[in-house]
Amino acid sequence: MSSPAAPYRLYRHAAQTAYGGAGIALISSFVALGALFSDNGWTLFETLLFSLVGYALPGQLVVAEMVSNNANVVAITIAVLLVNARLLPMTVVTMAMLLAADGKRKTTLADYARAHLVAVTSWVCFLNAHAQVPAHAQCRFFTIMALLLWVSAAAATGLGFYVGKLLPEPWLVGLLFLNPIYFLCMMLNALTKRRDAVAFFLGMAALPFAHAAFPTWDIILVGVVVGNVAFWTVRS
Amino acid sequence: MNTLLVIACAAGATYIWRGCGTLFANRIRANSPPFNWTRCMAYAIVGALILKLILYPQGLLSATPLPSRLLATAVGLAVFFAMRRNVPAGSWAGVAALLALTLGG
Repeated sequence: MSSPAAPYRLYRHAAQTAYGGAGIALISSFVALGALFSDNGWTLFETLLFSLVGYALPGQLVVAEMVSNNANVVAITIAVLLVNARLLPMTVVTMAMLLAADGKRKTTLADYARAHLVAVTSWVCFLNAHAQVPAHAQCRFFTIMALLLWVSAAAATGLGFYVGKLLPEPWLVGLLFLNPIYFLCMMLNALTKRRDAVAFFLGMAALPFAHAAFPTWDIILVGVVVGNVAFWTVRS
Repeated sequence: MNTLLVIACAAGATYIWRGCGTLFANRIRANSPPFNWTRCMAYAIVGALILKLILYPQGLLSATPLPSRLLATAVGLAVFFAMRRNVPAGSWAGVAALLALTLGG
């Protein structure tokens, strides 16, 4: 990365990471999301705006579902808060890695803006690719890659807003299903440390029990309990 | 319902976690025990979230039968491993299996 072509190579690597499968899964899911908001009677402007400022697919799916059921704003806000709480540990991990790579001690306003790009897709892509990027370029790499994913997601929502009406329902179902199956395969490739693998698989195993007991809090509960079990019982 | 109010509240409820995460990252060094503790929780959450999207989906996906989703996931994983951990091959095989099961059923 020290040659004159380094910036170009960095941009290309970031684009390849974003669109090497991750972007396709993300775009597919957001096409389906655009179709849902179109069905809910939202305008194109509202749909695009929400994709840009409320970027996080599971939370957006919850909003689409609750709006179609005429839920009130307070209920929607609480539901989104709970669904998106996963972003807290993911942002801590990503930002701490970027700060360390940059040799910085404190976050800046730019980091707060960059945090908006942290989502499951960008997080998993970064975990998979960061080792191949020199430390000094990791922050730029993450920003370019995650920015591409964010813009593509918004564009896909706009596309889905119009095209979604033309697609048969089973195809929309397929596009939505691509997201979890893609993340599952992607995560299986990202599990290089034993403790990460234990946390991931134990998290999956615990989900049905947590969901049966506390359906609203299941994800958070699994994160806290299983995360602690993995951290305190498994050597890194 | 005021759509712009819904958008503003949902966006705030999303960003607050990212903002807090950035704030906490100031106090946590990469590869320190607090970092690894947070990382464990993040991995557990992502594992649970993926399974939740398959077992208890919302919207259109919830209309598909659970056995079909589980079988489609198994097909996707089988292709993923058979093709030497090929992510696109596994993902699209899973989607194709679900479509075949949904349309065929």
